[in-house]
Amino acid sequence: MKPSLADIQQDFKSAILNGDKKVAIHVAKPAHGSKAKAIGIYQEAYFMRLTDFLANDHELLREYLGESQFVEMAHRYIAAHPSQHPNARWFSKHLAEFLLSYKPFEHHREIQELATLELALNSAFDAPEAVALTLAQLVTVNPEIFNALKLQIHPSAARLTFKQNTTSIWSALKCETQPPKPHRLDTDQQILVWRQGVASRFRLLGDEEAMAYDACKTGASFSTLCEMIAFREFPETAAARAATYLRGWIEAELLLETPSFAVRPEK
Amino acid sequence: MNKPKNLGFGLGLRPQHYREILDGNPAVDWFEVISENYMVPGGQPLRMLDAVRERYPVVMHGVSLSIASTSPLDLDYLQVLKALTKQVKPKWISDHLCWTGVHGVNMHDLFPVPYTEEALNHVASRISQVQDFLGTRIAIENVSSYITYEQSEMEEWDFVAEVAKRADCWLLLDVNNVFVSGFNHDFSTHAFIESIPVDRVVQFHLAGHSEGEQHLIDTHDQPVCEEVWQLYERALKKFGPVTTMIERDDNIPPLAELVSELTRARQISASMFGAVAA
Repeated sequence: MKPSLADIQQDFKSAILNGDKKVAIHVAKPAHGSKAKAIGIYQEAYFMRLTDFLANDHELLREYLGESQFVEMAHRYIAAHPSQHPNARWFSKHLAEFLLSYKPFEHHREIQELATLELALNSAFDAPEAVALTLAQLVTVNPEIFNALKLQIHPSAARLTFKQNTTSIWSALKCETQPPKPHRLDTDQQILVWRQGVASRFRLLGDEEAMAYDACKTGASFSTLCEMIAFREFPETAAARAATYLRGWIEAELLLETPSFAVRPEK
Repeated sequence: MNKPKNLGFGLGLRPQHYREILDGNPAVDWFEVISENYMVPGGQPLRMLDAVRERYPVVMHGVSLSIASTSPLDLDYLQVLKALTKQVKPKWISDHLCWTGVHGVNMHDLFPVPYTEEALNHVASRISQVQDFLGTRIAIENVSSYITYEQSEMEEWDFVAEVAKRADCWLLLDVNNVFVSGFNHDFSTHAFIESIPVDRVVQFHLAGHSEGEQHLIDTHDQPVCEEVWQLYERALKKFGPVTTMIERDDNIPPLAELVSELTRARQISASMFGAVAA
């Protein structure tokens, strides 16, 4: 019986993903070379194209690993996570998670963290738009109302916590200099990733600012932030410290202008 | 059947050229954007696209419609495409006469179909569904290929022409793809061009390719070669002035280099039809 279009596509897919040879029965004798050679063009292009998608999204990871280790890892990832989305933009989204259980790098946590940082920066790059709050708007708000308001964070923002000196490795790679040797940090590093204008960026947070930011992200009001900061240490300067963080977040375009900002106090 | 207005000579919009396009005034009449590159929530890609479309006509060109796949049409994809269309207001939308995946896996390549009655019915019916959903005719592009199928019952050019007729869609004739496939399958590129109906073709693609061991590979990483320029002239003789673009996806040169290639297309067309026509 003549194979259907669906049969042919199934066999073609198996040839591309798994190297199955059955598709050859559907392929006509080529004008040049062998059937295997012609089918091989598609098989080779598949791995090259998907490896390129990963390399575009993880430029510094590729630099850090070197071509051969990167390609080996890419082939394992491609086999484990065939693309399921029509948009190549999302193909690499599982890579950082995949690396958590990738045996060859199990003693190199910085590799997984580097992938995580690049993923967060990529996600920030084309995250949804939102109108940022400005300092000029802030000064028009009645302080009593302001204390009760819930602050909203820009949708591009993400928080990471790293155990290794991965941000130093990232910075060296970005400047095309020799990265430092990976090592475990004495204390975890708190990182904030977001988009300012059209550029993705990240910066390190001190423990207190990280706590304040995380509270803000979960809906705490400015007065609650002040209380939390005061409870931590030096209550007499808590409000000033909170105001400094707030100013920094606004200048970084991290907080949103929302209707609730102007009128709706916290219940 | 009124074809859309001739847009002149365009280029593919690539991020490497955003600044130059917006700061300068390149001799480009319109831009083609890869639809999927702008199917993102926000950020620079959409901001740049908004800025470009304020100054230039834009056409949307997709790579993942997978019109020939035997899996159901991807409605999520179509909804995002439709939303983008409403935002961008392109002069038309195009994609390829191919399949890119099946059973939930996208292989991100433009795979050819067997030229059979079954495939013809399948593809034409799906194009009609997509056109109904989007509320507009779409343009379908012939792809380059490295294999043909035992099951094929007709020539590629007859298949393409019949798809356009049955689906009542436009055609985007990729002159380089005709050349590449013509070499790979040893067919007459002139026979291909001559068999495509004039009233369906709304756009030409011109592009470069590379030479593999035994095949030509559609890499879009080189300038348009002499043979493709000659075939372009042949196509102009057959179809008259048609919206034309240079498609470069890799090894992307400075904008001026592409504009200079585009000038050659302009000159070829001008020598045949006068300076204003594409």
